[in-house]
Amino acid sequence: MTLEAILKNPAIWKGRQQHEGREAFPTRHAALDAALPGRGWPIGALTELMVANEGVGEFTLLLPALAALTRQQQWIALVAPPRIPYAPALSNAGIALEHVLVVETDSDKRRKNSFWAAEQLLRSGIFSAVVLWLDAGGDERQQRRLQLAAEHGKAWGTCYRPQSAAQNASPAGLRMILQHHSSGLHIDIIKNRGGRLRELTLPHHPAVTTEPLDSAITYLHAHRTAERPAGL
Amino acid sequence: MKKSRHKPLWASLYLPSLLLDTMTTDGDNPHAVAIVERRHNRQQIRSCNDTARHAGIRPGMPLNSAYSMLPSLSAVEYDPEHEARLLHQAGEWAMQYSSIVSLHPPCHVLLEIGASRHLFGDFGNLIATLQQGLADIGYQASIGVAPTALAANVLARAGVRVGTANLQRLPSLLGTIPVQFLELEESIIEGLLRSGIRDIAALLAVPAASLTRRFGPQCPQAIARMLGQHPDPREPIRLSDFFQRSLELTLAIDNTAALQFTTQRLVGELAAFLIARDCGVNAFELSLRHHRSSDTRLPLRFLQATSQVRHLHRVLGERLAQVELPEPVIGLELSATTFSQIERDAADLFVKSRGQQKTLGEITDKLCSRLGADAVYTLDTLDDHRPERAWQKTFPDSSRDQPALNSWPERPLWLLPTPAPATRVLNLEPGVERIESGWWEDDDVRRDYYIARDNSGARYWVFRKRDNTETLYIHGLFA
Repeated sequence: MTLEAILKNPAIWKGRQQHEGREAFPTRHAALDAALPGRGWPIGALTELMVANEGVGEFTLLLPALAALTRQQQWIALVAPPRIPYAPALSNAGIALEHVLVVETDSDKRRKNSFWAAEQLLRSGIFSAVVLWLDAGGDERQQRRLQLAAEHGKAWGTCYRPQSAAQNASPAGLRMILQHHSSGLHIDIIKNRGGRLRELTLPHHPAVTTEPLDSAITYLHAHRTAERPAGL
Repeated sequence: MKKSRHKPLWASLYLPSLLLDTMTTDGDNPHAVAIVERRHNRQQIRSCNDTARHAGIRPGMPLNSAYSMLPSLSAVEYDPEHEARLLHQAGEWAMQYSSIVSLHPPCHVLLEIGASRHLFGDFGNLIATLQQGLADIGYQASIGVAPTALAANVLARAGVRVGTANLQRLPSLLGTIPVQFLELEESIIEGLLRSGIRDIAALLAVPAASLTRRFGPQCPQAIARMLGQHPDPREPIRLSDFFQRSLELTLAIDNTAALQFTTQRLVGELAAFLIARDCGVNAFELSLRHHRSSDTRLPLRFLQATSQVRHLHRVLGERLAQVELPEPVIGLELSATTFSQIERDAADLFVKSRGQQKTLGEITDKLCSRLGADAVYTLDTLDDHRPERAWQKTFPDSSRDQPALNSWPERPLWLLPTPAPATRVLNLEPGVERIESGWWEDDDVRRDYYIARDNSGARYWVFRKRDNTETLYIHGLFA
């Protein structure tokens, strides 16, 4: 019996094998990619984002990955967004709008219908990413259904929940608390299947202009206005 | 939320029988295996598994005696390089629990766990997880935890299942451990025992100067590092960062078509290497060895880093087809050192199984039937200066043309259906965007837009009407 012969036995474990088979789509934030086991948003799993205060940059966080998907002709869906998803801003972020499906749900059955729609979309196998906004609630059973639907449809599912949800157990593969921080978006990873828990801060994306107020006045589209036929 | 710099804390995994652990294969009734090495000019047992030990075989025993006790014994030559590879693999395995892992050959893997400790409540949970993980992969191991690497090693080797994060507690914790568990030369250990120094407490009582005089400086230095009085920096391991595989040919190959076939295996191994590291190769070189001529070297470059085996093989095949061989090839070597991250194709990642896949029409019809036809739509931009008219709903259509990418100044992700007067204190960021448009229609818009921030950090898109600068209206959120 030689060592070589022994090592051919499939029962013998070799270093890297454990990490294989975990698929992810890069977040395009280097620090965040480094913190996630597949170096990106997990595919075939639910990601939960708990937001302390609306407006901290919680949706901006997803845009680089969403933009990359739509530019590769992959469908994404926004389910029950809290307000009008503003097409010019999405376009600025590089998102190919023709691959973004928006699903609104009315107020009286909002929660139930949002879950149902998100589950259908995740499960369909057509949508690569589905983002769901939950203003309240979302119990463990419903989250499990979403997680299973994401597994079944091999999709990246993301669900926004209030920060209070962080205390409850959840079957989601990845859970983060998002908070405002003076230097950017603070991310506290409280569940990271196959990876480690940690905290990090992503810097603010736009550089704030430092010009004095008066000199910074711009006349939007002035040149384009001039091109319009007079008297239109 | 910000953490202060944590104090280092080491978990030492003591893996005394790596070579044997990876050989024992048949479960309940394992075959007797021994590792042998040449010492004092004879083959002797270095270590053996339990089956061999039950038959009476012991380390240090001459191989001939072992064979006479157990003729069915499998003896494997000790291979320190292979042992080092196994230790490195164990280190890579440990990297799932800590990002700082270093090796302490021949038998220790050190994990820095100060940073991960709070995640596991206390390090007891982490140790239990490590212990279970090592058992699952079939490694005999014991674990020690201490604020210095050497103290953790001693605790692990002595099998002390109590750890500490406190440097001050080390002397009392280590005190009762016999000096044999220290990593000192055998001659020093023997000298200590002869002097009546049996445990670490007795050793610590001896002044350093006296130890230096009797045993040389190595002994007090090791003690100082173990107690944290001297720094003991450790080099963290990295995944190997180059690729090299060679192939000896039993039959010389004299045509490039046959070479193409032979290179398939090397290219396949290269692709596996790249995929495991989630990177692509920018350049590699194939060397063809001959009997007399110098090597034929074929360097290849890629404009874009790739890990696709078909692409690699096609490019290599094209290159090989142009080569004129000076004489038959007797060996090949493929090496690559330049790698970079590659953009993986989303279509590959989100592979759908055809059977379960619905069409877009099916799913949108289903959603519309329950939620209403207006509730499901795609988005488009419009060339209108009034923010509320710069977008529209469109019907989902997978064949829609990709619209030209427009570019606006910074815009909020959420637009309020109707602007609302601000009810909270907002700080305006510098910079104004004046929007004047639509005067030829009824809803004349003349506004100065600002970006504002409230004290929770949320950013808003706000405006003042130019004919009424009193009120600040919120029109959107940046989210």
